[in-house]
Amino acid sequence: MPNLNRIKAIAEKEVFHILRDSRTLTIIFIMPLLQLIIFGYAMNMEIRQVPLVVDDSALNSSSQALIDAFIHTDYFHLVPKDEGILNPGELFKERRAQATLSIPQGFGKDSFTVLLKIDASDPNSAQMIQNYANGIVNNRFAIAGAGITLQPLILYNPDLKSSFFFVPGLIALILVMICALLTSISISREKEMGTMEQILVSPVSATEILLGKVLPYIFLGLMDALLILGVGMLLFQVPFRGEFIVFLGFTFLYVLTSLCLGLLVSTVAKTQQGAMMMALGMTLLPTLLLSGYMFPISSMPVILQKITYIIPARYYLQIIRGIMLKGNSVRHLYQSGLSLLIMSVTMLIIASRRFKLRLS
Amino acid sequence: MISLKVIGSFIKKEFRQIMRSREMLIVLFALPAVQLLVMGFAVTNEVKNLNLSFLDYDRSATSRALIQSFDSTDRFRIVPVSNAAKPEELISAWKASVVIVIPPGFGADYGQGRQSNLQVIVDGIDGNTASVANSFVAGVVGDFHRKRMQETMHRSPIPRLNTQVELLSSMTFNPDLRSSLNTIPGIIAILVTVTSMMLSAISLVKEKELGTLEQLLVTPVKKAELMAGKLIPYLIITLVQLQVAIVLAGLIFRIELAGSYGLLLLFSMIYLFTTLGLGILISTRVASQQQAMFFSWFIMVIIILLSGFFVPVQNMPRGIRWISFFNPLSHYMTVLREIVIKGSGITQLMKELWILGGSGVLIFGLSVISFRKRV
Repeated sequence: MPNLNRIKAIAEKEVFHILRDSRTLTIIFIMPLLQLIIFGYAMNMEIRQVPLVVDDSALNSSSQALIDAFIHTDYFHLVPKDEGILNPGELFKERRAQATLSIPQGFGKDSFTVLLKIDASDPNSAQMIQNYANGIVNNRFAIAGAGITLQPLILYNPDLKSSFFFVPGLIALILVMICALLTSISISREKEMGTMEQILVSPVSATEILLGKVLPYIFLGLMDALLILGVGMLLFQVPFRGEFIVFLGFTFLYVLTSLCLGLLVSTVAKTQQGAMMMALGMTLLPTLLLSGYMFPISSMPVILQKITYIIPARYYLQIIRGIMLKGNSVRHLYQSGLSLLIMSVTMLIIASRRFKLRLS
Repeated sequence: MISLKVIGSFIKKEFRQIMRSREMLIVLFALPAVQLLVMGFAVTNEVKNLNLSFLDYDRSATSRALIQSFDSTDRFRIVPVSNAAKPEELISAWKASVVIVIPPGFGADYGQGRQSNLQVIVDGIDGNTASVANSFVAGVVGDFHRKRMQETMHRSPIPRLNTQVELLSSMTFNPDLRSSLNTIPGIIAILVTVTSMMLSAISLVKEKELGTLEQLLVTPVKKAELMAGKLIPYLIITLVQLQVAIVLAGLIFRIELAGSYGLLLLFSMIYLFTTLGLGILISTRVASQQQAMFFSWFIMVIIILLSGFFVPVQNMPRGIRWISFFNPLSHYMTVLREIVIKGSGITQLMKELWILGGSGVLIFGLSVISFRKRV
């Protein structure tokens, strides 16, 4: 039977470790805030003020009207063209322009076709530039006909703010990083320094060690999550439409899953360095890339989509975005919660097995 | 005098230490391969296979044809729902990302040339996906309308009003718009940064923590020898990893280097002075391996986010663009992308050469100064 006093003793020891290392503690709290600010302000998918070079061979009122239509938007700004023949490839290599527009002679009289060349080395931006240009040309120069009117209605985030997407995501990311990373390091540190053997000869059982080590980090992770939540709501006006108690319950479950992941890593890795690298490879990168944190899962190849099912953050992201933005209740989210529970139990069983093996 | 023999034996020791731990080797070579694979496929802002539901209250031939035209793209995956469902409830329960409501009488109105309405309800939590989805819907409906108009025009030829400006676009350097062409050089830049910084950040503090630094300090090894002996193996390992990554990029993603390989190597060596220097700076300032890892991880996350890997730097607000100017990874990533995708030469990359060279001299210089032979 796990003894509460012994767990408390181990936990106390761990708290001292955390408190003594004030630099790490500072990073734990500063890091998420910095990321929050970067994501809130800098992660802007929309491209503005594309440098455009225009090669106007027509030089008449029609071509001028077209050029005006381009540069009177926020999307393009005109970069003066050099003397001589337009060379888009060279311009793109020198990064002076991202698009060039060639207007042929006789534009407006016998020809209506213009050529837009786009630097497609960033395909996403290139596509956006193409969409902008098409929009400008269609809006200004097309004849409207009676047809189908679309009445779009955007739910939950009508201004399409990216902070609404990133603030809940950041909570998921920070939690897994702190809980999985710190736990795995704290255990492998004891192993590397040889102090684990000292604990092992004491009458403390493996379960008690694990529980005691994990408890302080649960607290730390939850504090950090609340901090991000508070700052995100104050600074970026991210709504919280669901119930707080539901959020707390699911967050606790997710913290548990992350800790189990950390434990698992630490039982495999022998050194701190190895643990850190493995924890990074198993937590930070998958969470960043495969959970839907930034990139939509539905756009990935099928194999990767299958892999996302074993990434805890995938479920938690749905949960936290559901609670905060959609006001979801348990009824909508219990499946994701169940997946998290199954994952943590599985990992805990494997971790404690491996941990005991090392004892003998 | 600096002795090459001493440096040589140091390098040997360092390599032995790295080769002995199997997990380090896995971390150094298998992980990059996995990252390249996963990131190469996952990092894309494309929007595909969105769950789309129709609430068809019209049930006419026209409405069925409209639904059919959505079925033919890979942008959407149509999720059948019962007509009794509420659109808000479908989106709230994560069943659909887009719901299109076709009102009764839609087909009749449309057939008679009256204005007909469609309601499009989009899940807005991911702003990027939502706006893209919106424009896809408009595109498909526009195509549907155009096709119908052409069919009716064939039947009763009216003189076409052709004053419409036609815009032809052509995509330079990446005509198929492969996103991997853009992300893979970025991933390689990140790999180089992470490996070199992590290794050098941990290097000294590990000896400190294990107490072996004191043993080193009582030997007659000079500071320069110690530094060279530590850093040269890391430089070699990182360059080997870069090589592995380039080969894999060619094999898996069919990415051919458009520019010169020598130039890429030159820039990488220059850049490594900055990252190795940063690692040493961290290593001299922290007390434990855990701190070293945390610090380097902290710096890396910030410089990766602001590097232009996920979002082009030019999209960022002015203040942050200014910060990005001081981010060496941002410049190195630009260099890799320009060389790999466009085949740019040194004349087009002069600015980056100066910046990276300057930061290398500055940061490496600082690290040499702060590197003291004491505990």
